[in-house]
Amino acid sequence: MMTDKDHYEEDLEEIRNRIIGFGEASLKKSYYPQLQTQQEKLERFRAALDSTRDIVFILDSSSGCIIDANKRAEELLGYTTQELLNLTIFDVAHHYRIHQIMAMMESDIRSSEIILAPLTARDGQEIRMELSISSAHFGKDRYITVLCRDITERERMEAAIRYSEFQYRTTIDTLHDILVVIDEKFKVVIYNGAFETFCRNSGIKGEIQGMELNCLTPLFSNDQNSEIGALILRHQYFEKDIKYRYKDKFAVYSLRNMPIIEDGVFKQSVLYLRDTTEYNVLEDIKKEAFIQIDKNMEQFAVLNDHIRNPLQIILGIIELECGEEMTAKIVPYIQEIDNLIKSLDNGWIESEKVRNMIVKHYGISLIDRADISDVIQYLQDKCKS
Amino acid sequence: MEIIREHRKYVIPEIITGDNSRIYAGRYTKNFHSGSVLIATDDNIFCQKWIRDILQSLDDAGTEYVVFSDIEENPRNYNVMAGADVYLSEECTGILAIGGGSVLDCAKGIGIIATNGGTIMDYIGVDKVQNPTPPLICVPTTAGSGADVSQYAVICDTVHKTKNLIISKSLVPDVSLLDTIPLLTQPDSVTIYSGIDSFTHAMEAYVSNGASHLSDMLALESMTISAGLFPFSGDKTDDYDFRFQSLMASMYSGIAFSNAGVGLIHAMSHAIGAVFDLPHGLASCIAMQSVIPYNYSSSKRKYRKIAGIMGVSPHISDDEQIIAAMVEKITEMRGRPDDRLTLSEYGASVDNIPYLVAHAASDPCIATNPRITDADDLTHLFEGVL
Repeated sequence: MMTDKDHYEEDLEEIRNRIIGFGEASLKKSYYPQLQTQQEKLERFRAALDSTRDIVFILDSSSGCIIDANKRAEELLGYTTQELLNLTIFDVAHHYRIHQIMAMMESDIRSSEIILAPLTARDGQEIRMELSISSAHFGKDRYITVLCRDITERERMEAAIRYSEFQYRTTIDTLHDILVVIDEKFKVVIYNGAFETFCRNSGIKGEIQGMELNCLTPLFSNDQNSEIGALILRHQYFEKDIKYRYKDKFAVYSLRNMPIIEDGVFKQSVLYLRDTTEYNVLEDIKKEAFIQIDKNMEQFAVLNDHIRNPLQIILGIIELECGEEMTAKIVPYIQEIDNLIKSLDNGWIESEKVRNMIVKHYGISLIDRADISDVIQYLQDKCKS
Repeated sequence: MEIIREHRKYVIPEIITGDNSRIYAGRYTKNFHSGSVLIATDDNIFCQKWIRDILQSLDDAGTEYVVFSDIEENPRNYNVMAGADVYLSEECTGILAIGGGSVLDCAKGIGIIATNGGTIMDYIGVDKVQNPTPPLICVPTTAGSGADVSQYAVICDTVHKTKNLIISKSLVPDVSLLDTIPLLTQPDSVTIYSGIDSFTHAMEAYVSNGASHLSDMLALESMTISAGLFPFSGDKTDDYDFRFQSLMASMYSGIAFSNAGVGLIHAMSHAIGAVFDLPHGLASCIAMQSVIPYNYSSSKRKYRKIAGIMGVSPHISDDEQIIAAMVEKITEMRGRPDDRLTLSEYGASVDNIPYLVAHAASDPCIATNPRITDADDLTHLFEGVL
């Protein structure tokens, strides 16, 4: 077992070895390993630069001569590296601003700018590019770096998006109904023409985009007397009829709130309002008409009874007072009248179905249906007897 | 195969000697692609006339320079960090150190921070420097520290009162321009204690357990030259040959101790210097009075050889007499009998001894001392010079 003294001597031996140059790291100063490390770093960076999808040019700041270019420049433009190094940026990129930007960078090394310009390949083909031009300095030397990104596909996508946006805009603007999208701060994000018209008619002036919807909610009310803004803020889907009042204008809207939740967080709400004022007025008129019909049918049933009662008396008198010949002549007419009343009674029965339909769909029934049935049954029994 | 002849390694810088060799400074900065160098120096040196030749050589080479002269004797850790700040902020790519041991050590520290970062105290010890330091060109203005050829740098921590060693092959300068001219302007006291320092380096390298054929040869030659040069007399101040010889002695001892290591005299003098802020040569003179008798038995043959070089009569056979005569001869090299060689003369008491022992025990120099030393031995050694 080693003693403390042994450990001490072992430590001293290790230090001695290092001092006389035999420690693991006892090496004379040599820049080569670091040079290799730096070289590897550079090569790694170069490999990364060559594998990018963008073209990278390094230019002489005064002449615009290309002094370095990555692999992508060769691939996309069809020049060899040596050919590129004999060109200037002006030979491959065509935009009047390039001259101006480079001149500007002479005085302000921190500046950078992005422009769109076509790059001409060796075969004359022009490729739409976004050029990010910036100034760099290394030691006392200044360079211009130009990063060129092929934007052919991007521009195609942008055109498609623009077209799609135009279509969506056209579509929502053709709606008579109001469509408005609000964000989590209750601000208008998207809206259609109907909404703009509605706002203007409601006295809203100024920019609608970004407007807070709160300025409109006081104009609305509903049967539950709840505030519309508060309902929307619950971030739940709902459909409600709401009433609109502004000065002497009145309208009824069917409001549909469709919240958009992402990852459990409320982002936006789509509000869809349909003007149901006309529909509601027609429904009220119908209700009144049906009430009147109901009353008429009621009176009609009573009238049948009133007709049938004297007819019974007439029939009794005839049977008592008239001879057979006379009775035979009169009874068919009485029978005919009775049949007519029966038909009317049957019609009453049929109208009961109409009544049920009215009750079901319009909630209108001034007569207790059970009592009416009793009356009808009584009348039918009476007729048979 | 049994190893009888132990492995030895030698690391030395490129060295140019001779009058006006300082003018090569510009050429070397150019060769090193150092477009902008930090000149580490002190104000007394930078106002000397001969500096102009160095600056001219830099101009001729197209090398720009920034001067950093905020370096104290026994350089402090904050001196190093301040110099490194200047080096980095001025985007320097090399260091030209012009000065004595303190300046050269500080320049080495600046180089460490420039390429390794952190604080200089992170590199205290042996082989702690990972990245190669910037090109370092040294123009020594004293003959004794050996810093211009060695792998050593000594940095003081004033807060903890420690004198710390950084030892790394990375600290061996790239170029040492050993010019006679800058030595002509140094004060006599500096000449004397630098000479003692050089002699001590040679002596300790010679008896070191890491000594080798080459280091022995250089150490013996160094001691032989020094024995002929000292005691120093004022009429040699402008003696070019004296200066050149002292420079050679310093270079030989520097290469010797850098590759073989030093010993207890340095371990103790670092501790003494840290606590009492004495010149390194003086602290070494104090320490050697205890150390030579202590080490003598471990390397008797070599100590006798040193005694012979110092002019101790070969007819003395008694070891104790040889030791006493040798110590006397070495201390006489100072030519300054007024400087008392006891610690108490400089304010030390027995209360200081535990701290001095702890400091010396952690000094890497004891690893190459010919005799393994423990705390008790160190206590006796310090008590011996109290």
